[in-house]
Amino acid sequence: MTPRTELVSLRRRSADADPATTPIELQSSGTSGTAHGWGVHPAGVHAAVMVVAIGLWIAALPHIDLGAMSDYGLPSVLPAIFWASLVLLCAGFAVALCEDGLARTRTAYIAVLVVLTHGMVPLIYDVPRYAYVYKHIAVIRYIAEHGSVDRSIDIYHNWPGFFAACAFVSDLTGVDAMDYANWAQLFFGAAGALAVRFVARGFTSDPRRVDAAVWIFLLAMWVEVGYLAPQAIGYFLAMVALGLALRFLRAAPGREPGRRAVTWLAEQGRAVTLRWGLELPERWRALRDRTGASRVTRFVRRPPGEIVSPTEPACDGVDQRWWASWGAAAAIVTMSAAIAISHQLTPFFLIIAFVVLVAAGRCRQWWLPIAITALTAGWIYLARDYLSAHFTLISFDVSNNSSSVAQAAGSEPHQVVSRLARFLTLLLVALAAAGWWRGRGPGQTTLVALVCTPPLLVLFQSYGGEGIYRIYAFMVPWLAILASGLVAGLRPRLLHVVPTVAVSLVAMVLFMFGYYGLERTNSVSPDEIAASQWFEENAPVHSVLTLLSLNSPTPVTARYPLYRNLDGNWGYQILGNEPYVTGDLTVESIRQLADGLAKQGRRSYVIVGPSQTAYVESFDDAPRGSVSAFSASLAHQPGFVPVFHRGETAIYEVLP
Amino acid sequence: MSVADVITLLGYIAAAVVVVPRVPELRRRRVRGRPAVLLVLAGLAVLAEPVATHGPSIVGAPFAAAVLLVAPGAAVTTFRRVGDPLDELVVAVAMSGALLILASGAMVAIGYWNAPLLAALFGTIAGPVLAHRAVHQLLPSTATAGSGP
Repeated sequence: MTPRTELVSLRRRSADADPATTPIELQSSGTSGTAHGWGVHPAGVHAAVMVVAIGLWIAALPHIDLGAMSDYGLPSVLPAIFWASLVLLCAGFAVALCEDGLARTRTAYIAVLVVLTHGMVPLIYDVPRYAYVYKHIAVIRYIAEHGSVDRSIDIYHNWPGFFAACAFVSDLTGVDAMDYANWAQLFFGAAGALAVRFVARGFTSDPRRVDAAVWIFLLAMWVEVGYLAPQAIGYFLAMVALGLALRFLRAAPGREPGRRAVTWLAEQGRAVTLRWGLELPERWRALRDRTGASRVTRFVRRPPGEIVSPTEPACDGVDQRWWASWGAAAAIVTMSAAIAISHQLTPFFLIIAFVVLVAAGRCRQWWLPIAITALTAGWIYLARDYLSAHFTLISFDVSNNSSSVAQAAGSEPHQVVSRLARFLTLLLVALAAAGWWRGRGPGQTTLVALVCTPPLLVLFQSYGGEGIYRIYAFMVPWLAILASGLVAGLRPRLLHVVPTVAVSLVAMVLFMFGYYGLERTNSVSPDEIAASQWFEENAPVHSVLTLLSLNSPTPVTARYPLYRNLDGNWGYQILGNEPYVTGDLTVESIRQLADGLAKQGRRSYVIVGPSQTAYVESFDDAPRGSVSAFSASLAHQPGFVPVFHRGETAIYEVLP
Repeated sequence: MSVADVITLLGYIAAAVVVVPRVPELRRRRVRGRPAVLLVLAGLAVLAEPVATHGPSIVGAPFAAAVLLVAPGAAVTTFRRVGDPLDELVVAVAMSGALLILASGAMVAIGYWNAPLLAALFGTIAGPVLAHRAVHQLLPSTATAGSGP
């Protein structure tokens, strides 16, 4: 039997079954498949595979030498047994995906994948990755120390929700944000996987398809949204809020807003034509009859693996009690409010997605997008003073809005990493298109609309060059669910298993390069943190720190507002594409900055360190080796007084 | 005794008021599965603040963080039985996160910062509600109508 005929027979079998019990009860069982001929249960074999994969992973961790990292990032220093553990995991999951049952086994595979890909961060890094995380830590420390915010300081003080929650945890437990920041990636990785699983179960009752969607999501999300940042919690809350709407706020059959309007119009037109005895062309008559109420209100169970239509329950029964509906709506509003006060960009994605859900009839509370818009607009209004002085709220320059913050140029390895990440994006889109084609039907329209709407952001916001990445992040879950349509009809045959394993392995390799390929610039040295701390604790108030590039873990303490530059921002940089930049890597450019600051009665310091050097070299802002030589030469320049030195990191006071 | 301690004490009393009168009936049943999880979570919720503030940080910190990330959300998402344990967990964590953000943001906005007090309030509300849900699931006839599953 060919795969296609198998699928047809599966559909027929399902359609013949009792609609009250099919497919939910039959599908949602977590029971495993049958035992193999030699008496070993498949779940046991898979458990052994996972144990071996974890064992290899643990054995590999001590052999990761971060100091030997090249411009290819973390993959360049991962030992062979680390890759072996990933290969084993991909192969095991692909086989489990082709077998019936094994729902719990696949869930376990997903959990292990999260641990293997995100759990190594706190184990191999002594301090949090990403230089920009340290400003978040500084804001958290500020709130924990002062118990308040000052909207005039920076944009973080105007969207303080997430930072306030972290400050609450730090203050209550006595654990500093620096100590748990490295664990954020694992936490948000697991939370994101669970959230996408929650959402996917609103579209399909097929557990294999749900698990495949989560797996694809985890491997395709090469854009980092999981570090200690407001966008991480915003992304998670947005996904759960959309899941709540999809799961518990479905429109009753025949009461979808869009279809109700069409029905009303069709019936009015039908009444008019009948009353006046108008002769309609054949095509119009057919259209009129097709949009009749009986057609609109039909309620059809879909066979397993297909995306359900707006009114069909996927994994949940319909609960018409008023508190079930209003409770879900209240939870969505609560989460939206938390998002609105935490992150600037996420509410817009949420609003667009809710408009799609309401229009598609997958959310019967039509007022939800209006409420979320009101919450967002209200919070922006409160921040209007700071925003109007420092930011352009709306820009219709589409080419600028769609450009990336990371330059296309850079070292050869850096360009390879960028291409691999983009190839992963193309692979995901191709899989989603194939999944859509295979499972095409009315239920998928909503998913396609959800994929297509996030790019609308480029029409009016660039979000500092990061918008394009956020757009991708908000497309990935829907693309993954569409791509999961390919698993329908998979059977444990070589013809099915081999391609599934191959695609999974390719995606895994691309993910590792896309996600960890820039580790040379993303990793931070503890010496640099100590230097930043020294500056904020010892330099005279209103002193200004000059950096070669902003990729340095500064600021880091609650005192950071005392050291802002003349623009009210943190530090000046010499190289890079930020607005306050001199562009020339010369001692004179630093002296000019120091002279300008001296006229304002401020003292000037310059900090050099490995993460700045790695950044400007990776992005080709300066010739390789020139930054290190320049940094070393500063010690011998007249007027440069060394005040802090540890390892490759140093701070000089620049005398005017 | 601080305000937070007083509120925590009220949480103990409220949880006791919910559970103690049902103890004879509960003893006749095997408490396991979902109600058992809810009962344990209720107990942990009222303990979160004192353990975090008075206990050793190596134990108190992860304990309090974990409880505060689950218990408040689990307590308020009574509107609907989610069914799947992982789905229930993700909704509880999301709601807890949202409530923590909103409550912390409110403290910042009004300029009254008191982390132990907020933790005590969360525990005092979440503990008895979770205990009530557990008792309701074990002894449905004794619960009030509309209190959720």
